[in-house]
Amino acid sequence: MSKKDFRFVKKESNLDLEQARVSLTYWQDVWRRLKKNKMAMFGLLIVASIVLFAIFGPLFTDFDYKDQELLLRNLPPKLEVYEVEDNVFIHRTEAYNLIEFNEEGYVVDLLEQVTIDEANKIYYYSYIKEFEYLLVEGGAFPLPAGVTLDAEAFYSEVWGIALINVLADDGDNQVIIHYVHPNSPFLSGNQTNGTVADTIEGLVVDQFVFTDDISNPDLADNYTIKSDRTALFMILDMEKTLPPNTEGIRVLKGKLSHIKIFSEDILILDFGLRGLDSSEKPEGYEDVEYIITYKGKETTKITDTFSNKTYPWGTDFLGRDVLTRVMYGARISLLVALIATLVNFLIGITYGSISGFFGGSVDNIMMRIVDIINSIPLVLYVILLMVVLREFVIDVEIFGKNRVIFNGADGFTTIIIALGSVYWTGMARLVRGQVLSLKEQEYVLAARTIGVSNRKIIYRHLIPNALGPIIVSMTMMIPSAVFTEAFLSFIGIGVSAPQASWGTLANEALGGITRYTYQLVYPSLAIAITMLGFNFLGDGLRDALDPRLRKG
Amino acid sequence: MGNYYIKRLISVFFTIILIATITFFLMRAIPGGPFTRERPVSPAILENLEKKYNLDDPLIIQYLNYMKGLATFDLGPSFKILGTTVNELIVEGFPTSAKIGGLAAILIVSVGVPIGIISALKQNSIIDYIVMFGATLGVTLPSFVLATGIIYIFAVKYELIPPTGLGSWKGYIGPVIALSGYSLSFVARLTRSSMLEVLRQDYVRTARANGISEFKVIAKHALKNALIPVITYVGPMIAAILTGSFVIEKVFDLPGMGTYFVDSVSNRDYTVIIGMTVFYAAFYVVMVFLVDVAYSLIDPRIKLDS
Repeated sequence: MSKKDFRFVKKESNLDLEQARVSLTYWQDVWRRLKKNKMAMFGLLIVASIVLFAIFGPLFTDFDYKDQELLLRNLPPKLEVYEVEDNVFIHRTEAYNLIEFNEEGYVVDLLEQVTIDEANKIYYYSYIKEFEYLLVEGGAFPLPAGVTLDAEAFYSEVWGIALINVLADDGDNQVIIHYVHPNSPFLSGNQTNGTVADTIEGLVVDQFVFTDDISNPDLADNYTIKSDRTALFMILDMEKTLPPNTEGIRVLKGKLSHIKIFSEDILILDFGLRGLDSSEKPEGYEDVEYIITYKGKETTKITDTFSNKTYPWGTDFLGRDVLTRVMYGARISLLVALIATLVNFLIGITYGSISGFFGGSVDNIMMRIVDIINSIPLVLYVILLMVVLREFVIDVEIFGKNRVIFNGADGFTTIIIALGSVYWTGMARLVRGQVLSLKEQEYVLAARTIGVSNRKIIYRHLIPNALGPIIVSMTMMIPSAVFTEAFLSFIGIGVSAPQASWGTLANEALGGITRYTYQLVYPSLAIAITMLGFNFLGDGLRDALDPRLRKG
Repeated sequence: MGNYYIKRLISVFFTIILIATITFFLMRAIPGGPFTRERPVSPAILENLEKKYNLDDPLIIQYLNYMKGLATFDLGPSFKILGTTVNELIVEGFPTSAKIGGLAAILIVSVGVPIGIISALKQNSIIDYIVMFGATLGVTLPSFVLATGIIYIFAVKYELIPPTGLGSWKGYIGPVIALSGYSLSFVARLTRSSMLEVLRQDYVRTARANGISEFKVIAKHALKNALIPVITYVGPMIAAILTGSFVIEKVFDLPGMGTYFVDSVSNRDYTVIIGMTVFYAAFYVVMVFLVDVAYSLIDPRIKLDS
């Protein structure tokens, strides 16, 4: 062979041999593998939506988790209604409350029983006009000269209103408005929760013929106030809510909400036919159980079924919105799970890495302790801890004031401490095992030779390299914490009312499972979906972090 | 080998003592005792009560007395349920819990393991997917959701089983299924994955190459090894479900151990709490011990001495 047989290869052509693929870091590679796993991405999607639901859900609802309206209790998501007048739909609750809905399914008004004829099974209902005042300024309204009130009336100079007790037909005490001062704030205050008129002024004029005769004490009949308090106590209560305020006097919202005024249109619910055989019923009413009479028109059949728009998931036994409660429950359940998992993570990682790194008798003793803790049924100890912590209140005197820094009765902190302090042993074992094998690696030896401190070796070299299995174990720990929290709340030692986690919601719904199944279905579904999401995600992460572990 | 068992038994013994000790002092650390009422009891009555139950002794004496009782299986009187001892409560509650738990354990092993095996053998078939879907669902559904679901569908809607109580054999169906749901799914998943791993091993291939019938390969060679993780899980699980599930007993309204335990915790009934915890823990520790023994029987390679 001569030299001519050879020729120089151009230098650039070497480039063809180079890998075209971008090199990925370990975590980028994990992400790539995770993205390929459909179940894991599905799980991630579920987890992300549940978290979004918990964070942003409550912003989109009109209710608070503790808002209750007893008359609206146990309203189902699907409503059966009677159309008593054109576009006036009435829903009858199990407790014989009547609620008016409009055709779109929103609550319009509540009707309250005014008279009950128990013997003939006839209930009479009326619309309630219930008011709350905001920013009503009180003042000094002395009784004008020339007006004489009944001797039994109680007059409030702050509010310019006189109330009097009268005996109703049924013997119950009733409070009626006896007199209103012409300048009384009741006539000008902004009404924030009423249905007929925007201001009390308009309402008073339209609805109750409250015109020039405003100072006439005779108008009492139109102002029946339904209250279980007497006139004197109502007056005292109203005046008590006034803080010393230079800008004027404010009524706190809700303080005057006891005042209910009934309108004159009476709706009659006759259920005398209920439970009778069809042969005993009068002709034409063979399959009728309830007769609703409104403005002279009888309605006997459920006319329509539509979804409840005001409460899309219904209301619970205290008339709280189930959707709102499930959203707030998501916050509590997820937060408890997350914090408890983080606490477990910190304790477990510290304990496990120290035990594994130092080895020998340190390891032996530390692992025996873990063994002992593990041989104790942990659920029992969580229950015991919950009960123990609930009794503790730690208050410390700071700057001469007693400040409560820990109150066990607040179930939220208690449950986090109980869950966080018990379930770290699994994590400790896992980290120890990882550290035991990792510490023999050359890079640890290299670190030692250049004099890196033990602490730094653990936190800079060992733990980051053991992170894969740790993360998988954490993803699995979150659903089990949700599970345990739900379980504890379910047996009645979880977060305290009115706060609610999913477990509490399920527990509360248990009593009415036969009639109000929906109350149980929604929180249960929420728990199950969350568990499913985290499980899928955890399985996927395990496969992505360590492809060798992939099963099947 | 025998030496090992003796060592293990001694450690079982010490663990039980330790658990009793921890629980004893934990309970005494709680402010408020069994006689704390909403309306305070008069000091004279309180003194008499404490005298009657020896609560006025120094703590260490109380502790030693309790331990003495424990040694003779006397768990002491209940503070809240008058004239009843803890032993009586356990005797009363345990049979109910054990009946439900025993049936559930049988169901778990006799259904969970076979469907796990079948699912592994028919990997990636329709059967496998159905089993895996069901098992994933079973693992994610909390027991109270399952229990209430069963009551709603089978007791309320179709009235096939009574909603509460154990009057007839039908009454057992609901609690047993609800109790076994999670573990059954878990066992099926565990059996499947460990079976799949074992089936890939060389010795299984060798056995097949030797012309041994498929049944024998599975039953004799593969299964033994595949069952080891299952046994690890099943042992403590049996202890847990035999001693009663609070949730199932609450939902189905059964007078079992779980109900007594939860009641005693909220009543601050010291002796009942400690007694039940010790009973449960003893059961648990013994089951773990039995699992270890089962290991060595199934797999002689596992040497317990080392």
